Amino acid sequence: MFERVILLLLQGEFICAVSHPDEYRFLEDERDRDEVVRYLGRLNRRLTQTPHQSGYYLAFSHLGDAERESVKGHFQDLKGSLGPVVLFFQLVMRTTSQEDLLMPGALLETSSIMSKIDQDAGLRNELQNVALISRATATDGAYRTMFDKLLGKLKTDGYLTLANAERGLYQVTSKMEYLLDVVRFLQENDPALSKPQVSEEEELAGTRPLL
Amino acid sequence: MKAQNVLRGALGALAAHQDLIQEAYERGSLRRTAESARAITVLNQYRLLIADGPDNYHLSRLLSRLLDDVTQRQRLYESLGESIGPLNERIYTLKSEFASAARAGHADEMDLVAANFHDACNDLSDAVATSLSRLLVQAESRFGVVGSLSAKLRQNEHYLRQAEKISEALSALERSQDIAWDIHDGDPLYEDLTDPYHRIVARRMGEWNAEVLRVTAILKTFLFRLRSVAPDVRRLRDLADFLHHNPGYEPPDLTEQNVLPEWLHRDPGIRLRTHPDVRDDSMGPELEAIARKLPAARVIIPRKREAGSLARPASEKPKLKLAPPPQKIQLIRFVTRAVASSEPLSARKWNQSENSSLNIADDLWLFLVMQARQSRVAPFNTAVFRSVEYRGAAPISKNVFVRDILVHGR
Repeated sequence: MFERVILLLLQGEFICAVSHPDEYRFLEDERDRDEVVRYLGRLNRRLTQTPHQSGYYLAFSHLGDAERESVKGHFQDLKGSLGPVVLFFQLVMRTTSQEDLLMPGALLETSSIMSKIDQDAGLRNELQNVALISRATATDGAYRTMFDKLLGKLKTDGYLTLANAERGLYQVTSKMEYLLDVVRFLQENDPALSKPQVSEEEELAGTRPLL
Repeated sequence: MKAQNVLRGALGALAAHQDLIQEAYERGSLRRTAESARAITVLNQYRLLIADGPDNYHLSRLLSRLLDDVTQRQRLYESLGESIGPLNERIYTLKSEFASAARAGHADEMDLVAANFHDACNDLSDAVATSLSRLLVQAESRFGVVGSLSAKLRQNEHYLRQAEKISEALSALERSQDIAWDIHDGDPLYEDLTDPYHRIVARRMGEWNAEVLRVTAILKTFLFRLRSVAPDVRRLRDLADFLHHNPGYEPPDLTEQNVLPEWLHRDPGIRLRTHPDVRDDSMGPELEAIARKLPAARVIIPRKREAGSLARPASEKPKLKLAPPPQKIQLIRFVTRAVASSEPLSARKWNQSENSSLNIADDLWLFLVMQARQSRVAPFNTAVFRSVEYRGAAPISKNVFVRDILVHGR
């Protein structure tokens, strides 16, 4: 198990009860975790937990030139995926009216979400928009294909895991907590985000409601 | 006998009118129509359907609860563990009743009370187990019937109170059991009561207490997470709104800062590649299996070309140079000389004297000469070939060995 945990971490995986239950249980044991920490220390790396302690991931202990390069690449990837992931979860929360979907372990039931999207033109439009931004458009133009492609992308990126292929059930992983930490940081530190969110047109037309 | 008939009739009614029961359970009520009137009357007689008014009926609460358990249906603000206290009291009342009957020497009454006591123990055990299972369903489903975080919070707090209530009821049960039962242990008079009580209730106390603690821990963890996720939901919604209005937004480059936020220290990972050790004998069979599956390599010969030109100008045809192989040249020389010669030439001797630079083995050279015999082109068609043969050491085998070939002109 030690070997599997080390290899997963070195490959940049998040280890949580949802994505890797056995490995997570291994890391929850203090003695095993200490062993992993000691080994990673020799590689200039440390074991880190997501903000609400639901998952583990790997971080650099010291940032040298090579590590900075790696961090830059990672930040570029994050910039690319931030918008699509945020918009997707906003769409799913709106569709299901479930606000706890951002918590690791939350279930996404594909068929029930899709049936609600199919019945609502606004949701269909939003799905198309998210698919366009995420480069997950469908050649056949079917909403179901778009939605499946989005789910597939999020699964590949590690935000979701397939809990039951037959029923199309996906589960949110601890990587979501990591992304929410990024969102929190940006909102607290990026002046562009802390300004009131009024688009140029709305500002000019004065159509945005005050409350 | 009569009770058995009623029971059979009730079970028969359940089976015969299952569609109506399902409808009443799913919709919450049932309206009497001309078609369903007879069936509804039967179900009402067995107290499976209860009348709400002249033509409206609902499912018996007991049956409804049972179906909730079977389907794991969640209800809002359920009251759990309320019946544990009264059921425990009933057990003690029956115990006193049993003691009174024993003192009075009423054996029949003692049997009846003991049977009721057994049922009461089962009722208590069922009440605790059902309350715990209902609690667990709520905790594990994360209150899926409600969507908003605030509603989930309220549900969570309510069920935490229910868990506390069950825990208190179990403590009371434990206390009363310590006081009242210890004195009767080993008393043969109370054997009919102590045995079922220990088996159905007392021995399960540890398991129930552990389950209450487990569910309480789940509920508390979830409550904590609900409280902490609320600001995250708000932030994600704000950012999504912002992105809708500003689709071109890009976060500022944070990587040049001296102190990076903790999340930016993340190692995105490396692609790990491993190679088999081909010197390791144990890898042999696996490597062989892999090699068998590999498709044949496509050989592509690269053509050099000068910059700005094709590898070969389209007008230029490739020059074909045809040259016979050296052994064929020697063969032609040998046969030409033999045809011109006044006496037969030995092919073997020729090979040893003239072909030394080609280093052709004698038997191979003789084979080439024998093949040339069948050729119909000059100079081979102008020559006569005579084999010098011998039978070898084993004539019975019928093998004929060619020692030499003599060639001369016709």
